[in-house]
Amino acid sequence: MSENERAVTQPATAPVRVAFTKTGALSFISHLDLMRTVTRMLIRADIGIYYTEGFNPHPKLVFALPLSVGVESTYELFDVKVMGESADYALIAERLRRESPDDIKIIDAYAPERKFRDIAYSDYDIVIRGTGCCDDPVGAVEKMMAGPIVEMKRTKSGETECDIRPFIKSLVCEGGRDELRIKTRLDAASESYLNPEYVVKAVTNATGITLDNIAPGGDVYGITRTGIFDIDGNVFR
Amino acid sequence: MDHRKYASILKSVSKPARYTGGERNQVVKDKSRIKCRFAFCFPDTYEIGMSNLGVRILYGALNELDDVWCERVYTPWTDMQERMREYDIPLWAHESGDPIREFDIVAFTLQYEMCYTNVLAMLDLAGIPMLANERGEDDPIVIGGGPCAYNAEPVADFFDIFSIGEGEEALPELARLYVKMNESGEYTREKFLYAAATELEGFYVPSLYRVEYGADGVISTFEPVDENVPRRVKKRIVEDFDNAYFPTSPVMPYTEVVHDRIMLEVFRGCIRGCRFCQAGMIYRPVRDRSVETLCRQAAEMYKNTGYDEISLTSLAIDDYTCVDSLTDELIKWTNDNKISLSLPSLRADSFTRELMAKISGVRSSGLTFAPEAGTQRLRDAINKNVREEDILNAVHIAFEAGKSQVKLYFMIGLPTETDEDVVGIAKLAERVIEEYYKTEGRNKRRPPQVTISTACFIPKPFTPFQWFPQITMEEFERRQQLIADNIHDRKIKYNFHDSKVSFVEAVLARGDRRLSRVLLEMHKRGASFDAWDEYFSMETWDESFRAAGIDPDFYARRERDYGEILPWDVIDIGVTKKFFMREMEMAERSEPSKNCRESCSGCGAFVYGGDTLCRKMRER
Repeated sequence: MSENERAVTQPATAPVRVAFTKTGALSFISHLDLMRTVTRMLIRADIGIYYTEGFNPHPKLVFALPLSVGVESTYELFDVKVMGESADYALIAERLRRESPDDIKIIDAYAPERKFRDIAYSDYDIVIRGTGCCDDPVGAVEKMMAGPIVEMKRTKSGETECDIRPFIKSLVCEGGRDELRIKTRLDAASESYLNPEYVVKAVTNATGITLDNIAPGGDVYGITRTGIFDIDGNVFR
Repeated sequence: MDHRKYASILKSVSKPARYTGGERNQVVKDKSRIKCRFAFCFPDTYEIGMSNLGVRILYGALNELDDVWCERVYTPWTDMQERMREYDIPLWAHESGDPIREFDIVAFTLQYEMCYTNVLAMLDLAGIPMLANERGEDDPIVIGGGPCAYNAEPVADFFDIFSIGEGEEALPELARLYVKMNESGEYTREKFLYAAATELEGFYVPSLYRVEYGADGVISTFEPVDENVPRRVKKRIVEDFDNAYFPTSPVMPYTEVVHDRIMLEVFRGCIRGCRFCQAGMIYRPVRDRSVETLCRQAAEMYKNTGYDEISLTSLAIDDYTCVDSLTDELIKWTNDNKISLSLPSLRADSFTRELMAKISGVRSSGLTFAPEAGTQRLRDAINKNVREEDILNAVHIAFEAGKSQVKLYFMIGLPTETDEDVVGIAKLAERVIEEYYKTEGRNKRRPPQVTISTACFIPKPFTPFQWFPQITMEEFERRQQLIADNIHDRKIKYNFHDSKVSFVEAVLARGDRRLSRVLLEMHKRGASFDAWDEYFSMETWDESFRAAGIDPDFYARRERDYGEILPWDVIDIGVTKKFFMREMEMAERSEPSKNCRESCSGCGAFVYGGDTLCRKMRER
């Protein structure tokens, strides 16, 4: 097949990037569940989604950074293609807002500026309310940040010890024994992505906090992703 | 469940999305304007409950009423049950998160007998007294419905009311009665139950019947307490099925459930009358929905859901008189929108190339047929009017279309079954493989695979086989082995159901009120999820039978006399005992009967109207 013929058989499509939030009860659904939920939202929105060809046609849907179950986010991204030479981004955003579930808020829809592989960092807010915290948790966390932080990390070949410190770009901790509030920027490039759950583990180890009392009103921690950035620290679009 | 208050608990259990709710299209109402709060409980997991079309319909129908709010409730998985007991969290309703013991009516749909232990677990987790006669004025009214309610005697002690038959008109009537009696101030638990039994149709109140047993253990008396209470409770049906309520904005789960697609209910009932099949009898007479109505419902549901699959549900889809025009109309727009059509209940004798082409438009999967028995002789005896040529023709069409996998469902232990019939199952599978190699244009890249599954026959109430004993577990196992020994081809895979589960199911299916004691014993031993292999324990059932002083063989393996008072005689489904006796005798002669379109067999269901010959019968 010549290049010209290929150009004829491939329909014209326009790329769309959607920024959205995933909070509340929806933080408990898995990445696969989110894909299904978004696919149905796209179909209801009736915006001329491009489907893959072949045995099992489905909308071509790519998420920037999958979230772990239980983690909320105020800044998520997915890419999708719509049929046609160009896309009406304002209309797409409006239609998606109408069809999104309660705990998904559409922030914006626009033409992608960079490829997802250029993602470098992700920001998180972490709140920890546990038992048995040392007297100076903020100091303990500062001390933790000074040296290597060795955690058991799950890899393809089982669990191995790993220093996660190089993957923590920055970390600010405030609060006290009852509640620790952490703002952190973690590596989010595909080969060095650090799951924020490891930071929770490291902080609880450093401060002596335990999270074993799961009774309502007992120990609890929450993680919210608040941003995605490129290597220069610009908001990723 | 409030995900903020219970975040730590949700993080500690498997699949927390089962409990968090907030799904699209769920119904939330202003509590201050509600006069009847209705908890609709499905006694199994969220994933299974959310897949049930009946629940979708009744949830929608009840929420059509402005002053009634129906919410959903499922059985929490065992890890969540432990947390709830440890931290005193009462069973909550999905939409509001409120404890269901504060509700007015708590309804359970009883889809299969093995969920009974979950009913008790849920009542207990809710803090509602399990025994109906221990409930007070402040406790909810506990009602049951669904297919098992046609013989709900084994759980009669736990329920205040059973709704018999189709609920989309009956349940709103019951809620109305509740609101009316509360507003007029005449409501007491006792008066409400009496009014439900005597003023409404289709409600069976077990406490209004006196049951006695003879020395032989068989029921000697089954009488209403007074002459106002009906001797037999007539099932309810929706007569005008085409105009009946149908929800086109179903609640959409976020997390993966078993059936997550557009379900169109094409018709209700079945013209066939297979003699082992309870559904084919209790849902009589057949009522069709028009092509126009179905297409309108499909289009609305697609707009409201964004599902990419439409399933045409009914007991045997190709018996729908307009199956061709319906599928023609649907594929006009489904293919372009990448929506696949699935027809889950195909009969081999009416499977055509045209139908095959329509279902393989988008995302087609394997094919399943249910010959039920291995020989023509036995298929005639059970009135499964499918011939071997039909099955081979159907798989031929499937192989021609590029399929290489076929599933075949059978039952073993059917009345009159011989070893020849059992071996016939393996032989039929071999012939299907042979057919593959005879098919021109087959998919040569993939070798064929035939999966045969055998269920253990369970005699059910309201079937011609209701008097028949179940064979022993050892005999089931011998017949399973006989099939396995006669499979000589690695391309044939053989699965079979556990005969122990089938035995317990057989006990409960035709049980009487004395079995409530067994279920209490099961509950004491912490039972739940007995429908799940990982939690079913024959030892616990044996212990419970012994502790309750119940001989399970009396229920599962005893042949009943035609004259015996059966626990379910109190229910009137229209179809008569005389018809069942005639059919049982024909089965013994291996003689099939005609289907409802060919000619009327005089089953008795014509009193309800319906779309086949019934209407003419009734007019006469």
